[in-house]
Amino acid sequence: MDRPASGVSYQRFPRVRIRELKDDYAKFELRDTDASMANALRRVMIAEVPTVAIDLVEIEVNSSVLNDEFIAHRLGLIPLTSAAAMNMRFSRDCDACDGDGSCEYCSVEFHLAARATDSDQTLEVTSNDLRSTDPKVCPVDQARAYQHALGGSEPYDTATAADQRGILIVKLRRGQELRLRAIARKGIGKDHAKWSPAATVTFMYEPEIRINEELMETLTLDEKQGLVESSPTKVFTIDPNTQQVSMFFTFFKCFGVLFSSYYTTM
Amino acid sequence: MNAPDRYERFVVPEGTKKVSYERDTKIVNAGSFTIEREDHTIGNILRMQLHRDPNVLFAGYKLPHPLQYKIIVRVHTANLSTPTQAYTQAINDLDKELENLKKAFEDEKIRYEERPKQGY
Repeated sequence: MDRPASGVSYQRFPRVRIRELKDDYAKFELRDTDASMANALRRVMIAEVPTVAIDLVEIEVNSSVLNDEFIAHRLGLIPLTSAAAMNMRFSRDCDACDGDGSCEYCSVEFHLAARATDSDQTLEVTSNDLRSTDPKVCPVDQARAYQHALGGSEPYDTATAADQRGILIVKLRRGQELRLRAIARKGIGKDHAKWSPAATVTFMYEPEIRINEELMETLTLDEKQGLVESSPTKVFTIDPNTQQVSMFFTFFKCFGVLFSSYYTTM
Repeated sequence: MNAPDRYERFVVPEGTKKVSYERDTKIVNAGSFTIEREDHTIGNILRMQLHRDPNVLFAGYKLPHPLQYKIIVRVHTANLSTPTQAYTQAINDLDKELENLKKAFEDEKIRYEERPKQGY
């Protein structure tokens, strides 16, 4: 390729301002760049950020009501903590293993063994029953419950007692058994949606609203209050002392706002 | 039955070049770049960056078919530079811009976390 001609650079200098940043939700503003950049960020977050998910399932015993591939599909969709994903290799690129893609550098092994005892109660096999060989990679709700038990992270308001039981895989009746070995590998969302780390990623332009003060002065107080109350989400607010209508939030003159919520990488 | 495998969308097979260039024989300073195993993510960003160059007369991209995983970027330039130079400049600028974005985000994250919890 030739050298660039004039040496004049047309690069932009994007700026970021974070509005909220939680374990599984982030909202930030992106300025001084183009919508194509925001869209590319969105597309990459959904499809090209590598994660770890169960990819190969060897079933030894399955006498449940769901068939083998059904259970394997469900296992693949269980989210696993993927902070280690950046250090792992893709199994197709891995030269350490014998080509079966299950060495320690490119995969994590899981075991699940459940047998409904002879009680009359239905046994629910959940993601809590998945035992990992690498403690850094485990089902996300297991890791969250562990963190919560340690007293570390803030308790989730939405986590009820039901959520603590883990993601349901299959229900077993008396005498039914499920025993399997699963291998989790690194992948990207483009390959299969189970590897997508994002729940939703959206972006939007934030509107710039300016109030015409001159016309606002001609309204009576009742008319101003009617205006403030008429919007379904609270956009305006009225100052009781000066009877001035102003914005509820301060809207900055900004180019675009990127909202995203994505799964924990712990 | 005829659908290609999913990994074909991003795995460049052995022997295929990632980027190739074809000069347009009929128009001066015009050509098409074919980028294998890419999609709108790269295409749109590249096209918008090429538009910022005043010497670029035409810049557009297309996916010839949704099941063929490649994009074709067509560039016409005026006399000051060749399409290859404009393309290289655009790629370099995007590289720097993305590094700036990454740094801006990391700095902002540190700043956000160091803000005192009550009353900022």
